[in-house]
Amino acid sequence: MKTYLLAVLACVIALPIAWKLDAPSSCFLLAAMASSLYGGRGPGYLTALVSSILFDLFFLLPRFHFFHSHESYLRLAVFIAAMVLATELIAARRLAEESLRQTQAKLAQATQIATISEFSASVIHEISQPLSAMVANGQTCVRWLSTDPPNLANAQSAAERIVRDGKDAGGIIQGLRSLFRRSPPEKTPFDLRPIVTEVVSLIRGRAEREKITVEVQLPKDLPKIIGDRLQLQQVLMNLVLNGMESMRTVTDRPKTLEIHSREQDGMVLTEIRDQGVGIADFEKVFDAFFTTKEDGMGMGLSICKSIIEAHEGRLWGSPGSMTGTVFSFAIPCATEERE
Amino acid sequence: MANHPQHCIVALVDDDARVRESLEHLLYSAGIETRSFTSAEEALEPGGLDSVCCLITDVRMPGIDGCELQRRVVAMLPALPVIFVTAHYDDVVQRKALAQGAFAFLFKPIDGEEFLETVDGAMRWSRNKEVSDVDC
Repeated sequence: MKTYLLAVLACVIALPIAWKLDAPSSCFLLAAMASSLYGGRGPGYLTALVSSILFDLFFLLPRFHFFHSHESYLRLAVFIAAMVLATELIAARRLAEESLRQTQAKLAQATQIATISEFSASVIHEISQPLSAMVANGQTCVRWLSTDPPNLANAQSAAERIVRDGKDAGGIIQGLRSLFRRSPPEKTPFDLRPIVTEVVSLIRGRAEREKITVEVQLPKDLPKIIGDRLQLQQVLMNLVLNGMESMRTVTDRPKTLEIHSREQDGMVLTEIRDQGVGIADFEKVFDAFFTTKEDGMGMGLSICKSIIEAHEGRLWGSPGSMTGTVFSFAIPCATEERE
Repeated sequence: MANHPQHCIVALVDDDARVRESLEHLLYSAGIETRSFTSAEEALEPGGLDSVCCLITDVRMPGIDGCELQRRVVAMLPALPVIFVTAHYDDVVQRKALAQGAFAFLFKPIDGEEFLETVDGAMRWSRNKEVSDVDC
């Protein structure tokens, strides 16, 4: 409704200007374009209709008559055709934009699902390993106890291994619990350090398997930052997984992944440094659908960037000093007045 | 449990130290000698599978995976039974492994007794095969 009122208003504004300049076609065409740009096809056509009537009354000779010469009708026809065409073109563009937006939303959702399923697979793997070891150790323990005489020393060491593996599995679950903790989406001041610790504990298994050394440097006096804890953890997780991924094919140098945080100009700057294959084009990596992975969707970094920008922060990538890549993000510190 | 001859060793391939260790101890409690490898590449090194009468391997490992390891082992030692132990319920992998002649396909967490019976069966199967193979 509002957009239709705006369409009428556009005609009302266009009329005196057109009268003064004696340029009805361009003024009314502008009104029609503005209406269809803001309101779509309907308001565009309403403007076309209203301005055709106004054009007919005010600008065709003799004025204030509905009957004119042939040339005048031709003028009117050309004018209407131009308005219809402009409205249609703009409406088509709006439709295309809308469908693109919907596609992007669907893709973002698909990416999330893909990430979740990939994530679940790695969680299943991480938990089933210690669980499997526990069952085998438990049955070994029972076997040593049921020999005649029972071999208590061997049974005890088996039981000790069960306890150790159980604690390992518990640690993995602890890390997950904190990742999926229901937290309100509003921004709160929080400490970045436990988040880094949680992410590192989640990837430890994979890092060991892929022979990656993870180095973490977090100053004790790191100020709190303001933001959505869960979203920032997702960003960090994504950057860390990308870093690990980039070192998959590296064989000629030690694979290290460094996570450093420090305060800089009222922001907390976090750097994730890998010794991977590097990136050719840092402009493109943040584009949606840009990917270097065989099975990647190219949405991870673009989602990360939008999350960081929503936190009034910056995310950027640069080549490492010798090899690999550094991804950095800076988030404003939580100051007194912000809290 | 049958008495196994001394020269018979069971090879274990798994990238997870905890799983390797637990299966070593389980087999040891049944009096079976084991040789562990942290990767398929390590198991395929020259002499790695000498006097091994049964190979137990994980499926998902960095580098050469279980299926590829089985393919190469079948080419080298056709009489060696291969038992898969995996945490991933992947029908495609399971079908492929069984089609390539895997002796058994067990899912983690495995039952220890079932596992020992399977290993015992595999060891006997390989012995019978050696007896029936004249050309060795």
